[in-house]
Amino acid sequence: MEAGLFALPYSKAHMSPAADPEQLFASIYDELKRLAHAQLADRAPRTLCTTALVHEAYIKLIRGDAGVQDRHHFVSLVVRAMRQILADAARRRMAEKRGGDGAMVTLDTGHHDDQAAASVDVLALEHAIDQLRGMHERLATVVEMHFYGGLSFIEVAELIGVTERTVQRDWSAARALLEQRLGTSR
Amino acid sequence: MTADEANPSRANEESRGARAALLLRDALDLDTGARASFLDRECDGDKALRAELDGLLARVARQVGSSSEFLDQPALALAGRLVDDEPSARTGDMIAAFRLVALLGEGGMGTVYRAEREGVDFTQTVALKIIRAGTPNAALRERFRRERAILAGLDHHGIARFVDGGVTDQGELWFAMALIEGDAITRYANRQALDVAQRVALLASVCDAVAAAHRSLVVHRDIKPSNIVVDAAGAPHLLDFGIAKLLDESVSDATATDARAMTPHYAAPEQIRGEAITTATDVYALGVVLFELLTGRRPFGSGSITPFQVQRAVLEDPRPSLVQASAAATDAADSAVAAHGARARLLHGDLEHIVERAMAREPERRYASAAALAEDLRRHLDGRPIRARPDTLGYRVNKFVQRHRLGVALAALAVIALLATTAASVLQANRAERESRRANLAAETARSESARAREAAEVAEQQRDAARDETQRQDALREYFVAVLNRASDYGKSVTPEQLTEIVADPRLVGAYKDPNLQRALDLAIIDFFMTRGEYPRALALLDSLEPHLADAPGRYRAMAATNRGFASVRTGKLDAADAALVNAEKSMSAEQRRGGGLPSRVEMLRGQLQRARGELTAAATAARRSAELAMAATDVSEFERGAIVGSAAVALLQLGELDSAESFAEQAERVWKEAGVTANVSMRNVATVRTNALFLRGELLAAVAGMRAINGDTGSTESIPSRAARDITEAKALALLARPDQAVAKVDAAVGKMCSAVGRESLDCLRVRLSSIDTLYIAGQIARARSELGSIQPAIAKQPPLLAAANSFAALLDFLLAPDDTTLARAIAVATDSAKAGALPRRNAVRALLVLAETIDARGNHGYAETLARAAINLASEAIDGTGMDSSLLSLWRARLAGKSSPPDALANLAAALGKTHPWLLAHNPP
Repeated sequence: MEAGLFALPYSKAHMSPAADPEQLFASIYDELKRLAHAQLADRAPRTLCTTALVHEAYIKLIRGDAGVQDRHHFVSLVVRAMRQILADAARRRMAEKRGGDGAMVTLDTGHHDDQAAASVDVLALEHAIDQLRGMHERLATVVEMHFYGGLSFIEVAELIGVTERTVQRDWSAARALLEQRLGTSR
Repeated sequence: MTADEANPSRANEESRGARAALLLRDALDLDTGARASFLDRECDGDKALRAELDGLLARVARQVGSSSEFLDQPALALAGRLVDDEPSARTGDMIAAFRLVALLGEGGMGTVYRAEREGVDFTQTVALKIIRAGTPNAALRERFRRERAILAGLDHHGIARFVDGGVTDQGELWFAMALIEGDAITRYANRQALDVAQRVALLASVCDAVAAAHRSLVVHRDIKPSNIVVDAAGAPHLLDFGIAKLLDESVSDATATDARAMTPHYAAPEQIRGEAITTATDVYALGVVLFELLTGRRPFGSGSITPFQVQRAVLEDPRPSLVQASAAATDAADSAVAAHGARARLLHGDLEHIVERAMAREPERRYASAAALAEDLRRHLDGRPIRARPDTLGYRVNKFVQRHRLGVALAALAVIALLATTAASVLQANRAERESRRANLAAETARSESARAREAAEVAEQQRDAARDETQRQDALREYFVAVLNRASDYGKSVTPEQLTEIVADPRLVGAYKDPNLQRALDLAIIDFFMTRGEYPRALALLDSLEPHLADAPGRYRAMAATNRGFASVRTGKLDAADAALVNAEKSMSAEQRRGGGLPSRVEMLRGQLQRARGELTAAATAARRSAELAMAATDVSEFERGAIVGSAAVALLQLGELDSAESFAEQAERVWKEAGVTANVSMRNVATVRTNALFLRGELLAAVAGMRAINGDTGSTESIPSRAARDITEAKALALLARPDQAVAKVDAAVGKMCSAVGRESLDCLRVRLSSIDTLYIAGQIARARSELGSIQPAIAKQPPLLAAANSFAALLDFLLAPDDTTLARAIAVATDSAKAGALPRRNAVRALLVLAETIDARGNHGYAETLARAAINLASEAIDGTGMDSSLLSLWRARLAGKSSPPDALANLAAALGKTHPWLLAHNPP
C-alpha cells in the first residue's frame, strides 16, 4: 500500500476545538508514530520523506487546532515528540531484550545493508545532543530541527533567522562533533 | 577524585568542548586555505586542542562527498525501524474465513496481507486490507454492507474483483479482493520498454475498466499507478475500486480527523478542495497516469516536495507540456524513461490535447466519460482526428455554431452573444487609441503647469492601473466565455436558454480566482449578463450576495454594483431602492473614476431612468443627454463602451419621445464605433433599432419595416430574446398598419410565443409583450380575439400598476370597436386624451390610436364617429407631430376633409410613401 492513504486535510470542515498543550503534544506524538509506521512499509515512497510527513502533520494541526500558536512552537513540540518516541521505543526494546544492546539501531537507511552501516545508540545520541547544547546552542538546535523535526535546511534557516548556508555549516560542524562524541567513524 | 574536584574538572571540560565547537564552526566559515593559520592563531600553542580540531575538520571533509550517512536519515525513518513490528505479528490471525498469510505492505491508513480462504476443494488467495481507523458506528456498518453488495457486483476483467469485506473483532474495517500478481502500470511500461503507442493502448484498456465501473455508478476516487497492476499477460487490473469512498465515510464518521483517501499527485482539483466527486474525478486521474506513462514524470510536484505543496501545484500551477516534462525526465537521466526521450516529438499535438482535456481543472471541461477518453486515445492510435482540440475561443464558437446550425436554438445563441459582447467585443476595442488619448491628455496637462503635470502623472498611473484591471477582467471573461461554450457544447444537440442561463450562473464554472478583485469583476460581469437579459430579480439576488463582500474592494467595484442595483431597482419599480443605490454609487466613485468619466456617465444614465420612472420627463431627458456627453469625453472607457453608453442615451431619448435627439445620438454612437473599427455587436443592433423605432414612431412605416428586416438579416451578431421580441412586436404593428393583417398576426404570435417560452409565462416581460400585441390584433381586424386576449391577461396585470393604464386604454378602445355608441366613443376619446398627458411619446401613441380608430370606423361607413375621432386626434396632436409620416399626413388629410376641402396632394404623396400606393386608407382619402 502506498502513502496515498495518508491523511491530507484540506477542507475547513474538520476544524476541531483548540486542544490543551498536553493533548496537542499527545496528538503530535500519535501522528508521528503513525507516520513512523508508514515509513516502515517496504513500499513507502522515497519521495515522501520526513519533511513532507511533518509538513503534513503540521498542516493538519495548524488547520485543525488553534492551540498551535506558531510554527516555532509546533516544531519544538515535534522535536520533543520525536525524541520521546525514539526513547520510548529504545527503552521498550531494551526491556524486551533484557538489557541487551536493543537501543543500538542502524542510523543508515537500510539501502545498503551489505555495507558496514554506522550504528548508534539512540539514547546515547540524545545525551550527546544535550551535551552539544552546552557547547554551542545553535548547533544543537539545528540538529534537533533537522534530524528530529525533519525540517529542510532552508526551513531551519527561516525559523532561527540565519542563512541557509549557515545552517549547512552548523550541520556539518554538529555532525562532526556528535560523531566524535559517540565514537563512531567510518 | 572527590566530587569537589570533579565539578571544576567537568566544567573545564565543557568549556573546552565549547571552545572547540566554536572554533570548528568559525573555521568552516573560512576558505579551506585560510583555516590552518586561523587555528594556529586561535589555539595559541594548545596542541591538544589543535589536534582535536584537525580531527573534526577531517570528519567534516569526510562527510562531504561520501556516502556516509551518519544522521543523514531523519529521525522518522529511524523511528519506523524502532516503533514496532505489530503488523507482521498478525500473520496467522483469522479474519472472517481468511487466514492472514503474509504482510504485503503498509500505509498510513492500513495494512495489506496476503490471505487465504480454505474451501472444500480449493484455496482462495486474496489481498486483504485492514483499515486503521476508528470504530465504525451502526449507520456506517449498514452503508458499508450496502456498498459491499454494489462492489461485489462489479464484474469486469480489468477490475480486481471485490471478494468480501467486514469489520474485524477489533472493530477495524477490512476488505478482501482478488490478488493480482504483477507490476504497477508505470513500472511495467518501463520494464517492458513499451513505446508510446503501446503505452497509449495500455491506458485505453484501463479506461475501459473505469468506464465499466462508471456504468455501475461506482467511482474509484484514487486512481494512480500503484492501483493499476499489469499482470504477466500484459492485462491491466484496477485495484481498490470504490474503497476510497468507503474509507472517506468510515473516517469522517468514525473520527474527527480528516483522512480523505487520495494521493495528491493524482487528485483532481475538486477532490483537493473537498468538492463533489464525480466520474470526472476519475477521468482527471486517468489523465495524470497517462501523463506519467508518456513522460516518466508526474505533472505536478515531481521531486520531494510536501503533499501540501503538491496540492497547491495541482490547484494553481500551469501544467508542463508532455514535451517539457519528457525533456526534464531525460535531463535528469535518473529515470528509466530517459531512454525514451527521443519520442518527444510524438508527444506534441494530439496526445497533448488529449491530456489537456482529461486534466482540465474544471470537471465540466474534461472528457464526459472514461469511455470518451478511451475513444480519443484509440482515434489517435488509428490516425483519425481526435475530439479534443485546443481550447480556443474561435474553435469553440465555430464548433458550437456548427453543432447548432440546424437545431435553431437562436435563443441559445442570443444568450451566448450577450456574453460575447461583454467579452469578445470589448477585446476588439481599440486599445491603441485609448493609450494615445491618455498620452495626449497627460501631455496637454503637463504643458500647462508643473503642479498639474504631477497630477497628470498620477492620473496616468491610476489609468494604467484601471487598464490593467480591465485587461484582467477581460481575460477572466474570456475564460468564462470559453467555459460556458464548453459546457454548452456538452449538452448535445440543442441547448435551451434556461440551460444556458443555469450554466452562466454556475459558480463552479471557472472555479475561484486567487485575486479577489478578479473574482468580484467576474461576479459583476455575470450580474451585467443578467441585467442585459432583463432578469432583474436574479441580478438583484446576485447583488445581495456580492455587495457584502465589497466593503474592502476598490470604490470602482462598489460603484459598479450600485449602478446595477439602481438600474435593476428602477426596472422592478423599487424607486426608493434605486434612489439609495444612486446615492451609494456617487459616494463610492473614486476621484479617479470621477475624472475618468465612464462611471459618472452611467450614474447619470441611472439618474435619468429614475427620473423618467418618477415622471420627471424634462429632467430625465437632460440626464440622458448629460450621460452621453460624459461618455463622449470619458478617458476610461473603451470605444465600444463609449458607443454603447451614447447608444443607451439614444434609447432613453427615444422612450421620452425626443425622436430627433434619439436619432442624432444613435448616429453619434455608430460613428464612434465605425471610427474605432468596432464591428458587429449587440449594442450596435440596439442602436440600429433606435433608428427604425424612430421611423416607426414618425409613421415612416415602409422604411421602418425595411430597416428592421435589415437588422434581422445581419447574422454577424445575435441578440437576446427580449430585444428581438420587442423589435418583432414593433414590426408586427407596422405590418398591421400597412394593412398586411396575416403577416402581422403571424409575426406577433411568433414573437409572443418565443418571448414567453423564454422568460416564462408568468414573467413581467411576457405580460408586457402580450399586452403590446393587443393593438396589432385589433388593427389587423381581429377585434374579438384582441378583447379575449386582453381579458385573459387582465387578472395578472391588475398586480402590475405600470401596465394597468395601458390595459385600461386598450379596453376602452376595444369596447368602442366592438360596440360603437356615444358612450364608448366618449370613453375612448377621454382615455386617449388622458394618456397623452404622460409625455411626448404617449401623446404620439394616443394621436395614432385615435387616427386608427377614425380610419377603421370610417371604413365601416360610420363617417360621423370617424370625424369626431379625427377632430380629437387633431386637437391632441396640436404642433407635436410634424414631418412626412403616416400620422402627420393623415392629420393633414382629416383637417382638409373636416374643412370641406379636397385632399392636399403633398399629404397624399407622403401617405403613399409611408404606407404604399395601394393602402386602403390612401384610397379612402383619395377616391378615384
